[in-house]
Amino acid sequence: MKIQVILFGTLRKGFSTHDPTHGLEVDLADGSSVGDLVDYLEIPRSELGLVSVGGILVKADAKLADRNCVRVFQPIAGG
Amino acid sequence: MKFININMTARSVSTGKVPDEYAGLGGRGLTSIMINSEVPADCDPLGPQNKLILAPGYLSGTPLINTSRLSIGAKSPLTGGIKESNVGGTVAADLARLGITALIIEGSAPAGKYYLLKIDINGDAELIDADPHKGLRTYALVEKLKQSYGSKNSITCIGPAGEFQLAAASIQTTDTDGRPCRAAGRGGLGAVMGSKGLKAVVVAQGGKRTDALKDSAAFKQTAKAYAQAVKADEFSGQVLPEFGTATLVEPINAAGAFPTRNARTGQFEHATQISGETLAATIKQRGGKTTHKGCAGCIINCSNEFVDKTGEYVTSSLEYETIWAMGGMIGNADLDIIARLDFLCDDIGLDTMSTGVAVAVAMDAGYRQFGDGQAAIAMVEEIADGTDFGKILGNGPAAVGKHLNHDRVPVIKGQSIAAYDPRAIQGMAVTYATSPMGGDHTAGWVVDQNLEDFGGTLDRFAAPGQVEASRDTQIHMAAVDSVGLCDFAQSGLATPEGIQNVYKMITAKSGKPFGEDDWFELGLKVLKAEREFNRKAGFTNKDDRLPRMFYEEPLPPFNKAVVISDKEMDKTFDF
Repeated sequence: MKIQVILFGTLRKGFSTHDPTHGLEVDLADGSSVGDLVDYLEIPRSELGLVSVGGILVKADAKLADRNCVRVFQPIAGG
Repeated sequence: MKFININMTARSVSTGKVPDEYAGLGGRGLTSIMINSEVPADCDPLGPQNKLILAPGYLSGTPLINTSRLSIGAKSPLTGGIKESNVGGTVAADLARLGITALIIEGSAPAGKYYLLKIDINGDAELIDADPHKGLRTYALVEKLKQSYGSKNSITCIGPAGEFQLAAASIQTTDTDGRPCRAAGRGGLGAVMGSKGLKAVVVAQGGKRTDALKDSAAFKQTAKAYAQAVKADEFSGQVLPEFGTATLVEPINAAGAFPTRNARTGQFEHATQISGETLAATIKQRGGKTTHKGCAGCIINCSNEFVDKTGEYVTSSLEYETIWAMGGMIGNADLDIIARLDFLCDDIGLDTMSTGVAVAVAMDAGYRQFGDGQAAIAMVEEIADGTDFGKILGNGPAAVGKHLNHDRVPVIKGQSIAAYDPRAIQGMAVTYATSPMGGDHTAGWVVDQNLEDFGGTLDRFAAPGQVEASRDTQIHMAAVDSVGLCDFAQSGLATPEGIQNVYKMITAKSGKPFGEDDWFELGLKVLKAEREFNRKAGFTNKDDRLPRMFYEEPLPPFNKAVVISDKEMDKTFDF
């Protein structure tokens, strides 16, 4: 299945084909989870904060579907 | 270690030792405990009995990085309760280097009369007639004062909003480039400064009278380890320098927690146009600066310098909360307009958050259309012009709501929420409702527990754990604000030594043992003093509530409302 991935912050570094608006397109096996996607991208879990699919925050075990748009954010701090 | 007492009624300045009861305190700890002890809680916040206290953090001026934080405290004309608003720039480090623990300003000059307080390189202070500077906006004022006193001064000042004694008036202070772009924005402290007849405080830079460290070697060694941890952290070492705090726009919007069009929805459809990524790309393309140092001793450099299409300076620094207040909250997706509004607020001396939310309430009431950036600029200019509507707007969102008979006003204790909708992050509902400061995000930022680790270690739409998270963070932050550590430099706490390094540095400065219990006790003592003052000022548990809109209007796209019960809210400070 094809997944659209948009990376934010410094996560974009290392992905030369990442387009600011459309991100990357990734091919994954059917039934893959968000965790599988993150591992495929080789993003360490410690560098991950939030992941949303279709605008909803999801856990690592959430299943992906063909043509999902996944947004991946770093940990945040605020004030 | 000295206090400088300034009596504006008598036009006198006196310097003395720090009284024993305040020894070892700094920043918010000092301002709040002192105000609770010395300011009558029922006084007119704009009258002579109120005191305006400027105190560097306990660790300001030391070799520890990111500690140029100045706490400013008083009774607030916006909330009617106690207020501490802290600000970066260079002034806190400079005061500390002159051995000044606090400036305490009381009394009031005759109406319409203004002075400036000049503190020289020896730490000696005098009041100087400032009538020629009356009415000046902050950028022009700072230029004049630099011409008179030289550029090697930190300047802390008010603009027209402070002179008009408006409840959204800020106190501005200069950054490392000498621009008055750093704001103690919250609580209307600019109005208190205006009511005293104090237009500016000019502090000599480069003093060599910093309080001695009892164990200088231990302090320096620990400070070095702490700095390395801040640099090594991805967020403070990489993300903030490149994107600034604006990096929060996209994730908070993705979480449906970005209050949009006066908090009618939690997602702004044009968020990408005002995101940290777009901001950084725009600045770079135009030749401005990302990775800009706003504050003395900063190694994070989260500030930026926003320029227009021709490369001309517009403002510094464009921050997340301002991008929200002047962007999503008013339905505006134009970064250039946001930057212009940010500059105007700094120049007129206004809190960008209270002002943006006040504009949003007016737009929500139909006074102008959401998304009309030019109308927002014209409205803010009215504040400086002193028109009738400008004065209402400059008094903040609640004043606008009352004037336009509109009840969707997102304020708690009179102060607006920040850029996290409490319906999508329930822990922020607890902090907004119960902080002695009124609606305030820095008092207890519990966004990470609600969103990170793939969607939060707490259920962000449910009550369990939220009161405890907010309470713990509020106690911790009261201590952080007392030592004067930059919020973002808390990343240094993420090392194995963690917060132990901070305890070690406090011990190395004071010569007295300081540990986890002392840290907790410090935070608790500060919060208790603040709560006590507010009780004396007439606040009850009923003031620890959010406006009805947050309980009654589910927030799209997740359609949740605040679920924390009154009983649970009241447990926050059940100590």
